[in-house]
Amino acid sequence: MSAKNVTLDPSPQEAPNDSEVKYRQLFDNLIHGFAIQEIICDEQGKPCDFRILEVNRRWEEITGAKAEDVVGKTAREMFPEVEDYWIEALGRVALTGEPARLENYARALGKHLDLSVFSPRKGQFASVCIDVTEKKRTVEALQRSEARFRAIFEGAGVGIALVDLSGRLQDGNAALQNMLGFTREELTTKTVAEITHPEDLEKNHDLHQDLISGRRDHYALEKRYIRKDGRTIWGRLNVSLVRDSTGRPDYCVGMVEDASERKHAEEELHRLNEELEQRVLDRTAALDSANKELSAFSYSVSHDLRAPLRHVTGFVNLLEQHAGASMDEKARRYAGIIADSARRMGRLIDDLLEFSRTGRAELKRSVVALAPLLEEARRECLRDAEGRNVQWKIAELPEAAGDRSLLRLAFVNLIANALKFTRDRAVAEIEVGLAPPEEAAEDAVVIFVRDNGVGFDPRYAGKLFGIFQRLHAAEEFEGTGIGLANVKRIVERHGGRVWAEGAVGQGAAFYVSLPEARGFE
Amino acid sequence: MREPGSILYVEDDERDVELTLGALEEHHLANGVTVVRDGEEALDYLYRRRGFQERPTKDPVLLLLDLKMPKVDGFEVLRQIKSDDRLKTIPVVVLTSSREEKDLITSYRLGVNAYVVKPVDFEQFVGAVKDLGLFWLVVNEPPPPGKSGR
Repeated sequence: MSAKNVTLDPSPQEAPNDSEVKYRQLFDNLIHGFAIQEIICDEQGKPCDFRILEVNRRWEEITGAKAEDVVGKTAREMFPEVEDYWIEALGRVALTGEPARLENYARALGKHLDLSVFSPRKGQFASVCIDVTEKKRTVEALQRSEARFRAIFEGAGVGIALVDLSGRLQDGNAALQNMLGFTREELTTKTVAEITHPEDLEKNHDLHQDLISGRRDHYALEKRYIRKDGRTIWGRLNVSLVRDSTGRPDYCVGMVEDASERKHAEEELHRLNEELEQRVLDRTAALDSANKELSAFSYSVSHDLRAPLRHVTGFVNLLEQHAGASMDEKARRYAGIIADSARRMGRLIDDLLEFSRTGRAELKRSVVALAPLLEEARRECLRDAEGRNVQWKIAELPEAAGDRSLLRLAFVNLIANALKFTRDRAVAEIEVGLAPPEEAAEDAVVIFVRDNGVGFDPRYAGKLFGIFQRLHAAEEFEGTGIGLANVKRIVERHGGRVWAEGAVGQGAAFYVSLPEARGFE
Repeated sequence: MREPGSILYVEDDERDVELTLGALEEHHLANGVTVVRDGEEALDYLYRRRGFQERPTKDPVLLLLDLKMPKVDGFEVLRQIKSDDRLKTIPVVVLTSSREEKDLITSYRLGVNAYVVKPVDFEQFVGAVKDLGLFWLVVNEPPPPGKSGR
């Protein structure tokens, strides 16, 4: 223990006694700074400075000054920046003898000091000094943090609630107040159950129990809230648990987003979907009924239009039988034209009905072997080519997926077409083969039917497949102009495509692409 | 050649009647053809009702039946005949303008014996009527009289 060259007592003794040693030890080992000072007053008796009489080690540490440098000096000599408020307050204690607790900033030290001051004798004061700078900073940081979180809490766009473990609201921010229509004061009297829609209570309760029992550390829930005005709103809730420093559940923080608009949008979407479905049903029903009407129409065409035609041909014939002898050349020619026209119209009606049937008939898809199908079609057409020299060249054909009877009709039309337009060739050459698939539809089978007939002007290739479109005069080649339209309709109903190549006098080739059999279940 | 029996011809279109009779006449098959103008009359004739109590006792050996007729149509006539034990043995030939699949199916389901679409072409029409007259009246053996089809 180092003896210091300072006096504790204005009347020093040569040898310190026991109590003085004890006091000295206590003095030096005190964890707080300690000093004894003497007040100095001006002429008016007003404190203007003080002299430092004695300091301990901790005081040296707090002030950064050594005892041997400061003892006997005045505060203003040592610390010129010392604030007047220190001197005033300390002077009051020294002069009145009333102890005081002073907490303030000491600019000279750059520190916050907490001083307990008392006066051991008139004109002197002793101070116990605690450096509270660090504590002060912590408190300030805490205050800043508190202010920051308060600002976030209050300014947040989502509703935020602090809820204690029993479910009572401790606080609710402006967004939540707004959402639910309660003031903060009203909110803090409520429990979560009181603002929750009855149907969502159980679910919410279970999740809350999971949270505070530690089975989960947060939960999310879409639930309905009851507003103050009784209206129900949808909210998307996210709740986290906050634990205290010992790890025990303390309270819950809930964030609520107003989901009413989204819910509304969902409901609207749902409603629109249902409406759409209903409209599809209605439209299908309308289409069905239109189809039925069309069926009835073609039925009546088939039945009622044929009868008068039959009468025209029948009675023209009877007329010829009865008056034939007395009719001149012209009259007989007219009668012939009448009969021929009626026949043509009969064929037109038949073809038209067939065309309408190919459009309406339900597609009965299966795997169709094209080779036998083509052979059937060829045989059927041969009846019209009796006595003609026709050279057939038919490649091996694969299978396709489609409606067999419709595909058969399509090939009958294509072959009949080829036979018809090669009629004036000495040797008709008809080739049926497989073409490479188109780039855009590699999973298709492309079949062509090529002939060496009269061909067509490629400028009119687009018209070939139109209904009632004919590229030849009726006198040249008979026909109603429906055959190729039928082919096109059948192929397109299968999802395929038809096209033609040719030139006048150089034959024609017709291509049809059909779905391949592979992949057909 | 057997003595041809009588034909009951059910047809509402008088021009068709004239053409058909003309075709039958040409081949001497028109004797004993009775023409009625709709399904109701056909049934009255067969059941000897209303104006037909006095008709010959012998039932016709062939019924030529149009399908689309006012009042009672051909299908209904066909249905009643084919569900009557006495009448069901009479061969019925539908002679119609319709080649609609559903008409064919309905007719055969109801037990029609033949289905002929009236050709628009007169020559073909005459040929068809002649063929069916000859077949049913001459070639075909009718069921023995008085025996039910059961």
